[in-house]
Amino acid sequence: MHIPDGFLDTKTVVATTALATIGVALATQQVRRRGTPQEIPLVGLSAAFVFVAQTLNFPVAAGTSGHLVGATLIASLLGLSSACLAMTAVLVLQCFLFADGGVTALGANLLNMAIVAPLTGYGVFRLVCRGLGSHLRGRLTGVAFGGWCSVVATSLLCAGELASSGVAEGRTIFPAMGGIHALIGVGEGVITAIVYAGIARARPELLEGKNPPRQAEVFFLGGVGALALAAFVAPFASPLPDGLEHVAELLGFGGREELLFPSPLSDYEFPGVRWPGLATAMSALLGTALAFGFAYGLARLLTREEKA
Amino acid sequence: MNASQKLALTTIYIVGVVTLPRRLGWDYGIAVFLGGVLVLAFRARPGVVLQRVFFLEPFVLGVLALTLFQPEGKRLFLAVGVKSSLCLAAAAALTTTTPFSALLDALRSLRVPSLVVTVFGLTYRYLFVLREEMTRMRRARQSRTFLRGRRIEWQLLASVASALFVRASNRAERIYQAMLTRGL
Repeated sequence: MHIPDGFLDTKTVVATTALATIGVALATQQVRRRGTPQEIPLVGLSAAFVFVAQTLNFPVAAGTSGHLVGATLIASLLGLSSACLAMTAVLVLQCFLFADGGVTALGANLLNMAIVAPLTGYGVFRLVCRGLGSHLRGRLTGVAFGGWCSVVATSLLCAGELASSGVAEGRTIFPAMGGIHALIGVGEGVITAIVYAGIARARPELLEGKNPPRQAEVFFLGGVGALALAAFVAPFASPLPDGLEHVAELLGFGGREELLFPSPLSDYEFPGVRWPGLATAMSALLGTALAFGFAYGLARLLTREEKA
Repeated sequence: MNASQKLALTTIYIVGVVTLPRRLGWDYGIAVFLGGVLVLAFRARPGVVLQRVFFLEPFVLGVLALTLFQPEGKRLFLAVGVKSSLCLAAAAALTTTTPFSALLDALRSLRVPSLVVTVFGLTYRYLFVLREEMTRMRRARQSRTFLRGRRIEWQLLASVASALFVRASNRAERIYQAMLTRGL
């Protein structure tokens, strides 16, 4: 999901870089304010761990393989701000050491994978723990479902950034990215849960988070994430024509678009514009419910093995 | 040329290339020429740079395929493809000629908070250590596993990953003790 250079246009580069800078600065401030220097080596080592663990290829089928992204795993082990910092280190090193991910796209990649990915994973993990209880089964459900959600959220944000840069059309890229990553996310969820269960077996005390969740960090970083979604995903999620199109229509430029798009008006001919949107929302809801059921089943399976 | 100058030049070059209009024209010729000048000025080996670019090109093409699904996709495909390849070459010229520690110093002089630079430095320092450790654990585990199958393979890989995290956090504790000993 690393965006290379040249794909994002100037406004997207500026907006993502600004949001990412704010997010990383907030995370740094939170880690520093907590004032336990013990944590700094752990953050660095965890980043190195994520970097290395990403190179483990899990065979899927027909020669394809998946790998861990790790944002949810690290967030559930270290807490949100430390995870943001660790993922930042991973992405910056990938960019400057191996030229993986563009320099001008670094802001977007940081926003997607170092802020929104751990934020979503951590948020979902804590919510599930609150709902099911924080025994091992609840936590495993949380990391598995959190891993899935974080991969899907990251891919949608990535799609939004590409679409608002004009590289791809919103209508094709959102279903494409969302669909593929709903599958990739299952792999992420499974790997995260098995690795988490392995750590629980070897050193259960590592899971007893040294950092109790702070409302401030979730609040501030959540704000950055919400801004990112509002800027890049919301304009495409609404069934109404976006602002620019609307202005073009008002000014009478609407006809010009007919030259570019084969049938621009076909979706306005039906009075029920909301129906396709509703269908999408239904299938998204169903997919999410399936993913949660799968996560719960996986957690049961892993904890049963534990007892046997 | 020192690392901060190289970093600045590379960033300027990449920003310049990214802001080019999305259609092939004479300005792309200038960009290619300047890219060549950059590679030579950094004293990068052109073969190594090209090798890096070819190695990373599949990832670019994966994203690039999306441009073909829209009107005028071909033009966009070519322009964006050339742009991102040029940027890759510039980034490769920088990274193959600059040690990472010099880049860290450059970041520090750009007033990036020392906490962040320290974390980057630690990550870089232990990246290769952990990679070696992982290779060793995998080999050991593989030589003790006689069954084959996807389920076993996944369990094996996951157990390596969790053992690696446990070792990483043990190591982090030792590093912290060492930091205390030397006067943090």
